[in-house]
Amino acid sequence: MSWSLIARKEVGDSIRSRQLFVFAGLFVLIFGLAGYATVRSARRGGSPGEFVDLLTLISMILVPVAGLSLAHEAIVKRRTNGQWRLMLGLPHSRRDLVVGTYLGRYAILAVSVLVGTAVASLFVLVSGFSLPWRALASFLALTLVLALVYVAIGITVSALVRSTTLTAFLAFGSFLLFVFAWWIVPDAVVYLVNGLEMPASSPWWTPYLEALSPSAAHERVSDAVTTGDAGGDVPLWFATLVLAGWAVIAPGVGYLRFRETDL
Amino acid sequence: MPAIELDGVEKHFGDVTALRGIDLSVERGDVFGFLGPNGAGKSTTIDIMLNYSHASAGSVRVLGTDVADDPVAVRRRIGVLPEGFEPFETMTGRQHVQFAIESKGVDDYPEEIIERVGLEGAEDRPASGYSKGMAQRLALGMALVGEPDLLVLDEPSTGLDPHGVRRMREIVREEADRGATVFFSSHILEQVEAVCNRVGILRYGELIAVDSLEHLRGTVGAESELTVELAGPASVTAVADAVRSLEGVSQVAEHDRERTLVVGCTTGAKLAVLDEIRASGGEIGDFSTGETSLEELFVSYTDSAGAKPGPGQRRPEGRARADASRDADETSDSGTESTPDPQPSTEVSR
Repeated sequence: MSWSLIARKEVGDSIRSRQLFVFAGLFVLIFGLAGYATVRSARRGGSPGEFVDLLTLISMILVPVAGLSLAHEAIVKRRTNGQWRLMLGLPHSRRDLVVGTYLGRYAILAVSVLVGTAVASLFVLVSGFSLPWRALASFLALTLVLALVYVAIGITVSALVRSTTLTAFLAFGSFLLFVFAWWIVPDAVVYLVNGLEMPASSPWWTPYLEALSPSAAHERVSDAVTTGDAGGDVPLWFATLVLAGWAVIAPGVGYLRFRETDL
Repeated sequence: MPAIELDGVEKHFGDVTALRGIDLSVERGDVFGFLGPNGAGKSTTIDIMLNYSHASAGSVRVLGTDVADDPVAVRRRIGVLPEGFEPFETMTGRQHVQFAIESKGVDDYPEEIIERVGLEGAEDRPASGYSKGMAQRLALGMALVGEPDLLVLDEPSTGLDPHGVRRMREIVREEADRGATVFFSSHILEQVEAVCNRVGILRYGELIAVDSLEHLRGTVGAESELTVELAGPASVTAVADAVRSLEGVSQVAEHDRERTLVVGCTTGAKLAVLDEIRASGGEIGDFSTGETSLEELFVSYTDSAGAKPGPGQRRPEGRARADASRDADETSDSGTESTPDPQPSTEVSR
């Protein structure tokens, strides 16, 4: 169980370097603003249910940013500064390093999300409004999944390449692509496959392609959970599988590459 | 079962060949010095031994286990002082040692280790503020945790002050007395000479000699070293040339500034050397004799033995310069005799 020692060291590093406090503080601040906005609008007769919608909206951007920025340097930086050489002089395997780093960094983000949500919720409660507990609970669960997936992508990028500049570039690129630009991809593929012109009706697999983005898959699962709507363009199981793939298979590929290369 | 067995280990980086087939066996209990100039492939070999990098061909067994198959099993029984590492930036020296103790699952006392490597007083400071020498001490301490069967030390004296070097030497001796095998690389020869019972010399990715120190000294053919300080006006070079032609003299190093000759010769030729110096017009101010230092041994090996680098071979600049000067007076080289580098100390221990 030597990965758990690595994971604990990651969390310990984060506490000792105050990084955890910075991230938790960031979430407290931004989620807190959402809480404040909710309270203001509720005093004018709005519904406190907006609170969770607001948090969901913010998290769609904030969580990928935080996850990628926490994870994208995690492996490559210790490779560059030689800390893995020190670490692998001890009885750890490279798999321990990747798994421990992944879960350790995830714990940092998960704690930040939890603390941010707790503080903002408390603010709403203290201001005299009730909270939509069920919606809040599903928001938390789903956001923790989104966090896992984006930490996984950061770890993957970090394990794949040898240069910190390249990882920063790839992390930023995957953020833009998955969060903002993915909707272009299915259309572009259809356009290319169809001989550079758009067909009258989209092929059946376009929605599947669209759901390959972790953010899109997450949205699909969120919709199913919050509205209870099991139908949609793609089956729920597919979106779930996509999320699992990003969380497990991507870092797995990163690990295999990391294992095969020289430190 | 040997502690380390390398079997035909090769390493290529693109079309550059770093190791060209290393066969090496280090026995249990040996203190093995792995020598070679910068860029010879010492660290590459150690990286492959530790599974930090992967051999292009060949295999490595450490304590009977193939490192590529089960690196963790190997790491459980060895202690490593790696080259080119930075300490963990958020942890103190004590926390580093504590982490090594937890990693190895033993119950050593951090205080003992810290005192042993001479870091007492600095153990509760963040290791990111340590000097290079302190970081070396710290990593050595981490390597010592859990009484490993084999210590692998890559250039352990890097950045150490004389006290640190002495402490390092003492620790290597203590570990060897405990029964551990010690494998360390160095380009600084006196340290190897002081503690090792066996030595391997690596050059241009080839192991050109593996032997006990006594045998290596014998192979070079110079059992003695004679240092002569010249008085009077005679030219050092002229005297050196005269001495060089004597039978039994294997190498002559000139130090113009100090007006000193260092002559490697058979014990019987010492008097003849002194006579020849006087005969060629030199005045002897002072002289001393001693055993051949490993330094001359090393220079004579790395300069004259082994193949010249192939087309794809890395060729360190310092080496290239030394070889160029050798090529210039190659005509005066008479087969068995080799002209040593005139400034061996600055060349190899930079």
